[in-house]
Amino acid sequence: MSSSVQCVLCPHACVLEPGQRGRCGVRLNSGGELVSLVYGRPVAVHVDPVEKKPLLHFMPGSDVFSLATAGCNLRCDFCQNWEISQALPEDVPPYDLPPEKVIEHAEEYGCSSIAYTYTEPVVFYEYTLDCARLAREAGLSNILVTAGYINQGPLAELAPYIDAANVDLKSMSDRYYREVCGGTLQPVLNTIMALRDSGTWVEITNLVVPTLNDDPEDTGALASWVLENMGRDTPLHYSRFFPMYRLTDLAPTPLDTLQQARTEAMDMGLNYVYVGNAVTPGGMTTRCPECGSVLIEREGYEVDIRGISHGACDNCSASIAGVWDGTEDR
Amino acid sequence: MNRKMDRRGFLASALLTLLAAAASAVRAEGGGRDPGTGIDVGRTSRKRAAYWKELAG
Repeated sequence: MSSSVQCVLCPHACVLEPGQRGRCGVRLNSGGELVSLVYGRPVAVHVDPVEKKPLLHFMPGSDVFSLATAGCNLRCDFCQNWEISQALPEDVPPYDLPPEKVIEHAEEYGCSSIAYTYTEPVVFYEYTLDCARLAREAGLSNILVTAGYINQGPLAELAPYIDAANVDLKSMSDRYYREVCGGTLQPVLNTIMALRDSGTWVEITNLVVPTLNDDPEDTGALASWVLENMGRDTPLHYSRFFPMYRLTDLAPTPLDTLQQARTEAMDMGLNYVYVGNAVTPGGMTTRCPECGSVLIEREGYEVDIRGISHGACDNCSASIAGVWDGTEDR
Repeated sequence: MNRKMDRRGFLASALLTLLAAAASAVRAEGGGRDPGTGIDVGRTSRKRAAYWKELAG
């Protein structure tokens, strides 16, 4: 007789009767055994600039083979990719792309990395892990773009294969996580620190949503946490919200709000704070924290690497945090 | 005239039916309705997942 099972991949810890799926919609109790419905079945596959992830201190100017399956374990009202993240796997036509093919295609397209992105790689965990292992063997880097809502055990198994991660830290308010995203805050903070401890290069993105988390107290609290727990060299991206999914009644984030959040975070002591999803003066420029020289200038996804060589400022030789020439520099 | 239109309509309808059948055949490939659960999993695969436990009772 079939039995119920508990998925312990993420903090939701869904208990599933036979035939039931988890909150992610992609993990099913099939006859007393938990199965993934999306293994090897991505619904989005693209070659992107690494700057799109966004990762600005990781192999700038490189191309990333990027993929996602359907599904997510959060339910953010502002989701920018809700058509696939909130879809069931049978509702979006997938590609048939086993891990071996992912590596082949990444190499064929001249990509130096593979990104598990767009939706939530936590819910296509087995696929991510198998691809990441093969990619490492093939000399490719692995990038995780995630909301970080995962338990520590599975993260510890995956993290050694992940070279870089951009973790979406949506707010420092647990209430915000519960009410707007359908999750909780602490597991995300744990993920960010665990990735850092495992040697993964980590950048953090905060989507600034008007009226919900755009108060200077909110953005300031987040910058303060990054500074205290991750250090001044961790890049922080304040990203512009556009009306989407369940929040179409809100206006895009005013540029002044983003600029102000950036200025305050830098005044607190963070060395690298960026404005994403928007064109603002200097908002995507990397400067040397020692001498102020422009190291990398960006416009959209155009990258001008002008003042940094082998991870050091050309002007004053200060070491610049990041992965600049490949994993050997980590 | 009407007969011609009817014939064209019939041909168009038959063509659409054939296309729909072909699309449905493609969609069912490798998937379809799971006999155990009754859930239509389409073309999705099913891979034994990691990180779960069987519950007693």
